[in-house]
Amino acid sequence: MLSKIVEPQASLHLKKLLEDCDAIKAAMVVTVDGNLCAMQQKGTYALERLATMGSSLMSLGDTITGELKMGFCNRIISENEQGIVAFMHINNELVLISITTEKNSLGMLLSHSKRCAENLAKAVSDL
Amino acid sequence: MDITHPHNIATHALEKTDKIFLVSMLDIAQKNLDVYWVLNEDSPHIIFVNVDVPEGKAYWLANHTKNNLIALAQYNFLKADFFLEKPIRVQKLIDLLKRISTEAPHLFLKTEMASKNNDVDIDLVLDYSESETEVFDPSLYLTGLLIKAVQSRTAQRFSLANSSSFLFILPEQDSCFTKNLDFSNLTDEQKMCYRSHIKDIQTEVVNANTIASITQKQGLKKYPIESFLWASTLYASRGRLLTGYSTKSVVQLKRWPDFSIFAHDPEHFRIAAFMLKKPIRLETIALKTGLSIEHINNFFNAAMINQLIDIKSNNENITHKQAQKESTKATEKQSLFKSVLKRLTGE
Amino acid sequence: MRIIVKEIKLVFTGSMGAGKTTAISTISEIPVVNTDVRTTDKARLRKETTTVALDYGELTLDGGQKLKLYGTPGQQRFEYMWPIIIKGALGLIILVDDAADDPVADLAIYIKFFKSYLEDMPTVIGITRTDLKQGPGMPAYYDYLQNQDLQLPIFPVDPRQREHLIMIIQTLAAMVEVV
Repeated sequence: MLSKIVEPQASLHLKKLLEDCDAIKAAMVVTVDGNLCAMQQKGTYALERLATMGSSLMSLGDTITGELKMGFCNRIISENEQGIVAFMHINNELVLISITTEKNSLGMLLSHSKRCAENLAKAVSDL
Repeated sequence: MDITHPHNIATHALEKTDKIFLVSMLDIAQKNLDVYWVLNEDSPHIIFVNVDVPEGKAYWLANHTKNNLIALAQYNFLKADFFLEKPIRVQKLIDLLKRISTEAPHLFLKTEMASKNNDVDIDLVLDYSESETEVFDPSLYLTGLLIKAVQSRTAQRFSLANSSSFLFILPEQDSCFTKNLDFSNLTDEQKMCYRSHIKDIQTEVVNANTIASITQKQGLKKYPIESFLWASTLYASRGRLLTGYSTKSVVQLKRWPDFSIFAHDPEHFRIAAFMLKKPIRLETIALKTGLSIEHINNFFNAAMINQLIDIKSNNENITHKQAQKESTKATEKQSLFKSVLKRLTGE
Repeated sequence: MRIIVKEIKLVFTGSMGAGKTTAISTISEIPVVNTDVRTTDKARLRKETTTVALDYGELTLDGGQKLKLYGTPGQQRFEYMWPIIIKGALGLIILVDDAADDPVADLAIYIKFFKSYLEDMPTVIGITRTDLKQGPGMPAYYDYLQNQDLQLPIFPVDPRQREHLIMIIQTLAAMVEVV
């Protein structure tokens, strides 16, 4: 089961992501079909259902960009009253979801999350 | 208590101990009942049938449409409206007899009691003109032959009316065998076959091994007997109702018929939908669907023969008049579905 | 002249692998918009891909009306999508894979979830893959519905067969008359 295989690597990279960026309050790695691999957070967010919702959203993103012939959907950003949620592909099978409660930290959120996704993609490519 | 007009009970296929039990329990129960019940095998109002034994089950299958049977068994596997659990207990017997008096008063109105022996000797009924009466007598058609084969547990071959169609019945396996059939699209010739009168059906007793060999050689398909009870009743009814029912009868389907094994036209889904939702008069279904009452009657008979119908007391929620008003308003949803179907079927 | 284009929405729901996407493909005149992704867990043994958001197909009717066909994700962890998709639907079709491990339990999941819709929304149950004869067969579903005191039309269906889907829609149409 993929989620179990990548769990140790995913946990390490998420921990580093939250340490490196103060603005990121929670992050999780999920499979494209909605299974939770790992999560880290600084608060007490209820993240369990976000795994399936994140996979639905990424898949819809891929469907929309496919419909418009815009290639692969790199990321989806949800800007909200009390924070930002970013969804991005790690590879064909994994999705990274990261959350900040600071409305002005979109740049930080995206740059750190992108680096984390790239590193994690490399780390799991040999598994 | 009026003991000059007792309600008569008969029994069928009861084991000796069960019968003794029934008599003694009835004796005890009597003081709690308003009506005088008595065991009278000659002119019964109701008949307790031991459906746990093949003879009783076959009798049930042949006669349950008359609605005066009480299933006696360890559990109600036939889902009978009137059921008494074995071993018989006094309180359950009291409750059952009270229910019958309240819910089926028509059983006790007849001045001339029905004979207990309702079996029709099909071999003697050859007068075709009898089938042209206003009521549908299933014993005059393939339905009757199938029931008789089940009762006697005899494997048979039926050659159907002026055609090459034939049907094997093997009661041991609860099955019939014939050529491949598409129940959603029977040909007119097939429909004609299934409406055959018994005088046009050749019957031949065969053994199970012969059926197995012919089935293999000719690639025949196995079907449940119910499929042909349904088809024969549906097409032979020709608008006539089974004895004892009228277009004012209030009915409800016990469950959705398994149309994968029952011959059907699209209109049968509509009839079934109305019969499934709530108790409804047969004439109301005709009014609401715009289908002829003959169609409704045919469907009712087929469902009744296959024990899919509950007969309800005559207190429908929606009156016939209300239904008349409602039917004039075609809902928007209906017209939308009509458009969908028109597009899908290309008609 | 103002043309009113009405939308008609039918929803296919039911267990994973029951044939929801296939059923929509059979009717739809456009390539089905799907959100299928690779299955990564043990469900992969049964199916390579799974729907995670929705399936969508269309059929244009006379007068420009669109029949919109939606399919829900089958796996229960996506149940948050089910009420979103069913909103405004004209009819519901529950498909159950007879060859699954416990198909009656699968049916029970959907009946329980959509129970509040069943009274007012025409609903038909389709049992698929009965031809494999690996499952409990039709009587088990009839018994379940009877135990639940539910009066719902139920058919064995092959979602690849247009005629079977027409039969289901004919029944939904009949149920509309009764509701």
